[in-house]
Amino acid sequence: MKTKLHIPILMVLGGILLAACGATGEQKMTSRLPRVEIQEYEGEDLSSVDDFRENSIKGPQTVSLEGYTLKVSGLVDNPLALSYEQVLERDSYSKVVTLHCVEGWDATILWEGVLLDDLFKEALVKDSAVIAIFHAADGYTSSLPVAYLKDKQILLAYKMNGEDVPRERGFPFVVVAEAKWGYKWVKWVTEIELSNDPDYKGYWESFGYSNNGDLDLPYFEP
Amino acid sequence: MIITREKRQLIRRIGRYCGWLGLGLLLFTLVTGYGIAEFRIVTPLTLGLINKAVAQRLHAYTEVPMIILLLAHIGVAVWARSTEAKKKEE
Repeated sequence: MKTKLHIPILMVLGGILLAACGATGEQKMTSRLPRVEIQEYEGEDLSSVDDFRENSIKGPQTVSLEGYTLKVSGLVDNPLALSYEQVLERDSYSKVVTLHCVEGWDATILWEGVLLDDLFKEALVKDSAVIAIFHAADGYTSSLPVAYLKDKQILLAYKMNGEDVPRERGFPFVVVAEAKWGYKWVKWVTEIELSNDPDYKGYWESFGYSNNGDLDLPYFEP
Repeated sequence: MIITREKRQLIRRIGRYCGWLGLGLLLFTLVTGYGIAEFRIVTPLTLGLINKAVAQRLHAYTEVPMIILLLAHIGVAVWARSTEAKKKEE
């Protein structure tokens, strides 16, 4: 009788012991720590990722990585459709660049991402391609010359000040169009289309903003 | 230089017009400024007439006229006060 009573007690104790072992030995704990944003880089003060004014055409977009692909299409011999992780596997580069908005504010950020030129080499961009049209998740578009993107080593950024690009700032990818007005910095990039049409006008360009977008020139077409 | 009563009245009237025009221009500057910063609200409200680009162009044009009108308005007011004070002294 005594032995019969002990068996269930022993089974319960054994179960608890096994569960405890599992918890300490097998299970991995994941906790979200507060974000750490770099505030200074090589002696240069950086702006915060919160120092931007949200001025996108349809408000902040939420891009789900499930099923997300970054397409490189148009005048290429090897069209690409890369997942977020696949883009991050490429060589990464970082540089401090200031965004100047036509509204009058600016923000200096340490950007990290892939070189657009690397993606172009992989996609085997045709010689006839003169501009790259960036398509965003909200339907926004803008274009930049291929020669400028190559020569200036322009980044497609996925990190700002050491942390992932926040949703409001263009997650997953932002074009760091240095020396160009802010409307050329396309956020929430989903596709890069190579084209031979140098007169292509993006969203704001079609309203009269300069297609060139150079910082040292007026932002309105004369 | 002698300024006749009629001329004085005319200058004061011009000062008043400058004030009202300046006020109108100030409100216009506020609307166009809001059209730049909050184009997602202003563009549909104006049925697309004032989009961000239009607002920004108009906003830029208002700066100089507003400064001129403001200076004219203040200048006339100061002149009117000083002439009144002189009159009283006499």
